[in-house]
Amino acid sequence: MYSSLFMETEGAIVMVIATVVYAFFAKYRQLAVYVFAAGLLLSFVPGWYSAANHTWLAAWMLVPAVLFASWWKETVYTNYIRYTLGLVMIIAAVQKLIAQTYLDGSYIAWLSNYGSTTERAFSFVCSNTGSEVCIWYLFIGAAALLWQVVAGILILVGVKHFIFIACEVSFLLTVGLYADEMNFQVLNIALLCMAFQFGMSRWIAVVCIILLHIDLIGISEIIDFFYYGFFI
Amino acid sequence: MDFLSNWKAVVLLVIFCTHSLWLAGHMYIHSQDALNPWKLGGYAMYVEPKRSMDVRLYSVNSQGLFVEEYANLAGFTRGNFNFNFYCKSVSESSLRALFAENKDLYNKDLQIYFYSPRFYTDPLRTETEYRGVVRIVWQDENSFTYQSNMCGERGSVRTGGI
Repeated sequence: MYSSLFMETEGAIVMVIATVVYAFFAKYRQLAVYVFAAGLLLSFVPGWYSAANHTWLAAWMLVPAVLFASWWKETVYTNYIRYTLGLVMIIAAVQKLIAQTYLDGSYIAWLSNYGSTTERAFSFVCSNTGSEVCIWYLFIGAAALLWQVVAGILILVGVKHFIFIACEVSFLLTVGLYADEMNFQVLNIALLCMAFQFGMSRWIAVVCIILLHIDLIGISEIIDFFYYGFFI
Repeated sequence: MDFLSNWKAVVLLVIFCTHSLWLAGHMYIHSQDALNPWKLGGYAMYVEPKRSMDVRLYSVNSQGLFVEEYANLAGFTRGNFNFNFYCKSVSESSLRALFAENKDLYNKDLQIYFYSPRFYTDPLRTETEYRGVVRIVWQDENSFTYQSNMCGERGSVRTGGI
């Protein structure tokens, strides 16, 4: 019991920190993925049924890196990352289509009325409250869905034009702010860098590390602190 | 042929295909409303509000009256995969965990009811809905029978022991 809790909290954090430190040095980059894979699997296996989707994504994407000595340079591996990332984008869009809550704007409307502080960010676009869906919520829901499909296809095809990458990173950061969940977006940005073999520049790495720290507290909590003067 | 001669590439292809099959399975089960879309690696988070199963325990006394019981449900919840499979029958191991963590429930006939919120779009609302029940009847000091009825599907009567 204790060992399981340790792996889910302190153990996992120690392993993630070790991975990040190792990853900065080319000499230890292969060791980094071994440490990461071991930490991920040890924390994932006991509670796989409750693991967040970013944990699943990391498991599918990053654990296979153990097959390669110089995984960040292997075209076969980076192509695997690109195809999987494209597939995941399209599946996420299909799941939204199946749920039928984006094309009618109902889920954005629900979040705007009952969501957390950041999830209510679009509530200003509609004057009505409560049980109605206004046209702007429909537009936002449909636009998000459409972009996921377009981004998925462009990633699969291998388009790495600067404008597309800038739009996709902006979309990811906007969603991260909206959902108050930056860790998934940081993972996606890192995977984009790997898929297109850009490498992660130091300033993007620093921004991502700052975002992960903010994520530990929560953007909604920070906004509420400045608004109410205390953490809710 | 070059691709297939590279065993690492073949391993990646197998992982990719397995992932695709997993996603197809998730989509199918999600479309049947039998799985938590936020969990299990189907990338269907933020398609509807988060749902958590509301579990209510009642003991049935000798007059047939229901008395609500307040119990530690940690092991019971874990044993049923945190109820992320909405229609899955309750497992015997989870019932053993329930009794191990709540000694005062020994030898009490129980009915455990499950409710979860459902999202409706017209008008916009969530409503708590009945999902199922499991009925537990003690046969002697060490064994009980139980029967799940989840999502309208009645399971067979099973025997469990502590």
